[in-house]
This record gives sequence, C-alpha cells and structure tokens, in this order.
Amino acid sequence: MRRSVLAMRLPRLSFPVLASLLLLAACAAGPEPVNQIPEGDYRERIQVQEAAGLRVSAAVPSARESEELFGKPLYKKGIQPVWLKIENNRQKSITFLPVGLDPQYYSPLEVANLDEDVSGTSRPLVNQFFIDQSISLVIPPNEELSGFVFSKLDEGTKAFNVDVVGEDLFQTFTFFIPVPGLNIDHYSVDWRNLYSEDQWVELGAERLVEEIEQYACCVTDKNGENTGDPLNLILIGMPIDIYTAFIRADWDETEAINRGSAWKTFKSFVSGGEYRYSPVSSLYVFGRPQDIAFQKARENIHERNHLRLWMSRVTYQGLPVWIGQISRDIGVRFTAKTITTHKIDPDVDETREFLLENLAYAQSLKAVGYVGGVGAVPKDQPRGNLTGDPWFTDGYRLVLWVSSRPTPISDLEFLQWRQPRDQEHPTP
Amino acid sequence: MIQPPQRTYSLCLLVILAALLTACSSAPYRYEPLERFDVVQRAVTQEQGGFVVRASVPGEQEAEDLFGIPLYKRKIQPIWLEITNVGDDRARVVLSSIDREYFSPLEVAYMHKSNFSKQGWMDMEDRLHADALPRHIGPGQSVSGFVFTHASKGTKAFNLDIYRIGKEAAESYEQFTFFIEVPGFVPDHRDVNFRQLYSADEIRDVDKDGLRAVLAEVPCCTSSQDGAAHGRPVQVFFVAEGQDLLRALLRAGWNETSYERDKDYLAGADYFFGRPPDAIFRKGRDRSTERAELALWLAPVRADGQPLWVGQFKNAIGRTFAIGELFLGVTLDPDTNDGRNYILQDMWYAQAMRHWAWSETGHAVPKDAPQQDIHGNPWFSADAYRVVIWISGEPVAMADVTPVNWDRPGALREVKE
Repeated sequence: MRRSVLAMRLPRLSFPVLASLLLLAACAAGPEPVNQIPEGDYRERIQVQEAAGLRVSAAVPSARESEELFGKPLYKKGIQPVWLKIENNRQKSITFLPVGLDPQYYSPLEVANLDEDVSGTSRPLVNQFFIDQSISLVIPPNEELSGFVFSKLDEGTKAFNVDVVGEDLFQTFTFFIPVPGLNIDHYSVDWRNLYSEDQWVELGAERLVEEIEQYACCVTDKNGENTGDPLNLILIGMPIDIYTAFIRADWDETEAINRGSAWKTFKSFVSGGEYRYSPVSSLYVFGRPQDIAFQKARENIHERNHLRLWMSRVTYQGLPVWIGQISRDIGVRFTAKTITTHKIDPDVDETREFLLENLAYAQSLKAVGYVGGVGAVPKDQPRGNLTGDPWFTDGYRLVLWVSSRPTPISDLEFLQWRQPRDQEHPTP
Repeated sequence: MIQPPQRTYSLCLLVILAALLTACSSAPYRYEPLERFDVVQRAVTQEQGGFVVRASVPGEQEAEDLFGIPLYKRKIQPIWLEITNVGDDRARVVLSSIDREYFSPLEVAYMHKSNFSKQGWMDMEDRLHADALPRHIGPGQSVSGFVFTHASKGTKAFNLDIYRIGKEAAESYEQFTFFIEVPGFVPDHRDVNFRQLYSADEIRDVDKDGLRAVLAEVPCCTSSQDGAAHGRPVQVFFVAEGQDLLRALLRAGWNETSYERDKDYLAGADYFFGRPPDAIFRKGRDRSTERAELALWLAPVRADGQPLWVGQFKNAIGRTFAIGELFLGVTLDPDTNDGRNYILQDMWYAQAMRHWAWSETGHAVPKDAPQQDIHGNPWFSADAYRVVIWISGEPVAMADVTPVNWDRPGALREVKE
C-alpha cells in the first residue's frame, strides 16, 4: 500500500510509540513458541485433488523457500508463488483461469522486475527464468502442465481456488494449504483434551438455548474480576469446519505471542502497514484465554475485525458449541494502563451483523439464528470493555452453524430459536 | 538565494500545526439537512420482486456539506438508499453486498473526531448512527439512509442484495445492480460524440464470419500522433453496445478517467483510427496505485448489428514513482499477451461475457526480438493471437460462456520441456 511515507511517519514516532516498543519487548519473554510446520522442500507438502477427469496438484513455498527458488524476497514484497500441476485427462482442451486464484495475480515479468531499476528509459528485464516458471492457460487433452502463479501473500493458511473451464465444464478446486513460517495459535490447542470424557454434554435445541443463554454476558480479565466485551456469538461446528469457514471468508489466523510476533506487531504499528497475523490480547471465558482468534485486516493494523472463540463443553447434534466475541477496531487510542489500544465500534450489533453477511457470502454457513444471554444495553447507557471502550447492544447472540463445504446462501436455514425484537418489528 | 529550510523552522511549523489542531478540536459539529440538496430528487429507481429501491450518490462537495466532514478526502463515499418492502415478508438488506468493507457509521465518526469538540464528536456519532440505512424492513415498510462505502472515481457501480426472511430458497432474495453518476466528475467518453465518429457509409455491417475476416485486417498496433512511430499492439476486441461495455467494465472494477485532451496528452497518446482513445479505464491492485490501463476505440464495424471496439491493455510494472495521470515514463510489462489473457478472465469473472474467440494475426513478435512502442518501451507477443469478447448486457454464469471456434491457439505460451 502506497501512502505518503513522511506524512504518515512523522507524527507516529512519538514517545508513546517508543514506550509501546519497550512494552512489547517485555512480552517477548512470554509463552514458548508453538508447533510449526517444517520448512524445506515445498514439494513434500503437495496436496492433490481430482474431479471431472482433471487432477490438480498444488503446493505453496514458504518465505524462505520462495527466496531460494526465485532469488528474490517475494514475501517481503507481498507476493506468494503457488505451484500448480494440472493434468487434463479429458478429450478436449481446457483453460486454467488464474484470476480465480487471485483476481490481481502478478505477471511473471512484473515479479522478475521487482526491485530492478526500471524507471525512466531503462529497459525492463525480460527474464526467461520467470517466464519458464509461470504456468500456461490452455492445456491440451491428455497433457499436463505445471508452473507457478504469483499471487498476493497470505501467510498462515493459503486458501485459493483453481478454476478450470472447457467445453461443458466449469470445475473449481478449493485448496487450504498451511504455509510454514508462522506460529499459529490454534496449532497448539489440544482439542480432544480440553474437557474430560465426563464433562462433555450433548443437548437438544431447547436445552441448548437455555444453557447458552446462561453463559456469562461478557469476557473477563485473567482473574475473572472485571468484565469486558459482550459474548455475542455462538458457533456450532468442528474445529476444522470453523477454520475452513473463516479462511474461506478471508479471515486471517493469529500468531501466538512470541519474540518474532511482537517485533512484527511493532513494525506494523510504526509504519501503519499490515501485519495481518498479529497476536491478540488474551480475554477470558471458562477461566481460560481464547482457544482461537481470527482477524480480518482492512486498510491498516488499526482497522480490522477481531474475533475470539472458546469451545464449550456442550455439543449439539454431535458438534461442539462455541461461544465468542467479535469487535471492529475503528482506530487506535492511548490509555493509561496499556499505553495504546484499539478503539472498538461501540455498536457491537453492527459488527455482529457484518459477520453474518461475511460468512453467508463466503458460503460458510449452514444455519443461522439468535439466542439471548448478553442483556440489552441501550446506546445512551453504554457499558465498557476492559480497556474502557463503550459498547451497546440489543442483547442477542448470533448463532452461526458453520459448514466446511460451500453452502449457497439460498440454502441457509433459519433456526427459529429467538428473534431480536428490533428485527421482528423494525422501526423505519 | 533560497536557503534550505532549517530545523527550527520545521519545529515552529509543528508547534503551529499542533496549536491549530487543538484550536480546531473545540469546534461544534455542524451539517446541512438532506432537504437542502437534490440528492433524493435525482435518485435512480429500480423495482423488482416486491421491492422499490431508490439510490443516489452525493458528490464530494455535497457529501461534505451534508455530513460536515470531508468524506471523499478520507476515500469514503456515502450512498443514499430508500427501500420499500411492498411484500408480505420481513426483509433484510445485506450492507456488505454494496461494499464488502463498508465503513460503519461510528467508525466514520471516529475517523473525523479530531475535527470537533467532544460534544461535537458525540453529535456527529448521533447523526451518522441515526442516518444509517437500517438492515431490517418490515412488510409494507419503507426505510432510507446512508451506507458509507469506499470512494471510486466516476460512475458509481454497486450491487444491493435484499433477502426475504423465512422464504423458501428459490425465492429468498433479490439482487439489484446500480450505475449512478456522481456530480463533479465527467468521464472522458462523455466528451466523444460516438454517433458522429463515422458516417453511415463508412460503417461495415458483417456477420460472425465476416467479422473474422475483418479482424484479420485490423492493424496490429497503435501509432504516435504524427503516425511516424509504431505503438503497442491492440490485443482485445469487444463486440458490445457501448452501455453494456461500460457496465461490464465498471462491474469488473475498472474506473473511468477524465483526462483533459490537451497538447501534452495528445502528443503522448496512442493513436488508432487516426485519433487518441475514445475512453480510458484504469484499475489497480489497491486503491492508491492504479497500474493497469485499458484504452478503447470504436471501430467503423458492426457485427450482427453490434458495435465493434478495439482495445489496448497496458500494465505498469516495476517502479512507478511518477505515474501521475498519464502512463508516460512508466515501465510497462513487455509481455502483451499476459494483459490480453487477463482481460479475457476479467470479463469472464465479471459475468459479462457471452462468447469469446481467438483471432489469429499471423505474426508473432518473439521476446528475443522485441519491438519498441512510441515511447521506446519494448514489447513482445510470443503467440500471434488477439482475443474477441462478446459482451452481454445481462450477467452470464461462468459455466454458460461458450467459445467461438475460429483459431485454436496452442498453450498460449511456449510449453516447457
């Protein structure tokens, strides 16, 4: 993202910023790094999918592997190569559409000319190596082609489609490929052992609604003494369904707090740039910090949505039920306690409804509904979160039954559990 | 002699600036009511499936007066909507169908809070919250309000989806698409009188086979103003009514431009049919760097009754410090086929394409013997094909697009050993 660098940086290198560096550096001695995917040869991490006489193999080199492959720090430039092999076992030619993988993919020579001084009259580099590495569009019958597509960088998990068209054919293959290099928080959660055998309880719809309406209204701090943001989400689904649903809807995973992530957070704070995977602070439910956090970056680190989830001991139709909290950061502000914090949108229902639209349009939802449990908080008498930001709500929790398989919005079911009054009798 | 600015000056400047900022922040919040403007009067109306939707987009000055804050300067564009639910079911408006990353009203207020006193900020919050478009509409109800979207240049193109709650899948929702002119911006194509570009006897009417023959004769490349220098190739043909092509491009995320056709522009422009482009569209990876450019010329040809357009795609690569409004002095991707392939896919995903075909030119320009354009930039075209795209006025599902089997290229890039 280009912006006037000087104009943006000058006012930000103020004392509070430097102080926050020290604070972040202090965090660095915190939790141990968690599990990582081994780096090495990306070809050892190839995923394969087959359908309609096509066989598609895909792999994503890490930052280090990409630099070794192409001799350029592509990740630092926000570019991520995706390796594909497409085998056409049909009788007719097929066409691969890289726009489906990334609507604004980079052309090979664009990547080859990165950092080369090609301004003014000097000639662009026509780099045969990069041309050779890229993949062709048309694949004749009974042939296979392989090569790289240069896409926008997604660390954590790379989610993408491989779209192939041909005569009477439109086939989409969706890949979710974990990329080495980040310490993603949920890699280290031992889902099976969060609760012991005798703690799990399966409930029918009616008892479920009763149970989740009794859960605490809000998150707390570590000691459980102070309450913060409202717990306005209920999710139903296996961890893998939740992971897939959010990645499909363009949410980013979150790194566990360690030395590296603290430094990256600081750098992006100063530059206003993106660190899409920055660790989020711990909020507490069931006496423990969140099990999973996702974030959705907008233009810079100060504008993003944060979402935290805790798995409850309840299952519904055999699927874990989660309680969660979503907030929309609308800016950054200074506080006495933490020096800087994100200012959240006080209208938390607005953010909640955004999430419903976001997941529904990503075809990530099977069913949707509402339950109570937070309690109404009017706009003119807002409550405060742990950093003192006000919030108000109609008091309802949004129930999102996530689906790991794409589900068209027209198939979305409405759970007739509770109905926010404002929605039933809207005021024009 | 002019001295370089000294440190003390910049410090003074900072102090003054800080003082100014503090002074500003005591200002109360002021705005003008909607009735003062003709925003509502000029609204475009669409009616569909039991919903009547009126939409209008305030221009930059209007938006500033209406909300008391310079929204466009923060790249925020308000859209005014009025939705009447004539049917018997409750309905829900999907705000993110208009802009996936719309700004929430209180977010917009927070972005501008330093302009006002604390009370002013609260007043602004109240005003923006109260004037936001509600999501839920009861049967027989009508709602109206603003949605805060990312600003785009030129005609505002956006979708709007409305759901009926509790309806069976097949009839659960309505989709609208709006194209709304915004005051204060005149796109370049508005200055061209397309009806008078050619006389009736200049225009050739052809069928599909005739078109194939005609396209084979279309010159490979643009030229400079005086015709002395060869330009880059024209790689794309569109068969489309002008309005449909405009909407297809807007739907695909292209922005109109408003170049002033002054001496400098004319001297640096690419010429085809003896004139500079009839329209130029731009598109970028993010909102601040628009690096792709599509120039269009109306051709004196009608294919099965529809106008033919000649297109040239350029993609800036490498460093683009001085991109400005023009593509001069910028290094362009020398591989012109990449751009051609991009446009084909772009129209496909915009669901704007009915058919496509490859049209053989007969002469490839290999990359080890590149040609130079009018600004001395090299280009090559490893295969000898141009793409022909038949644009549809109605959205076409991606699986329903059919090829016209004229010339069959190979792999569109050398197949590797």
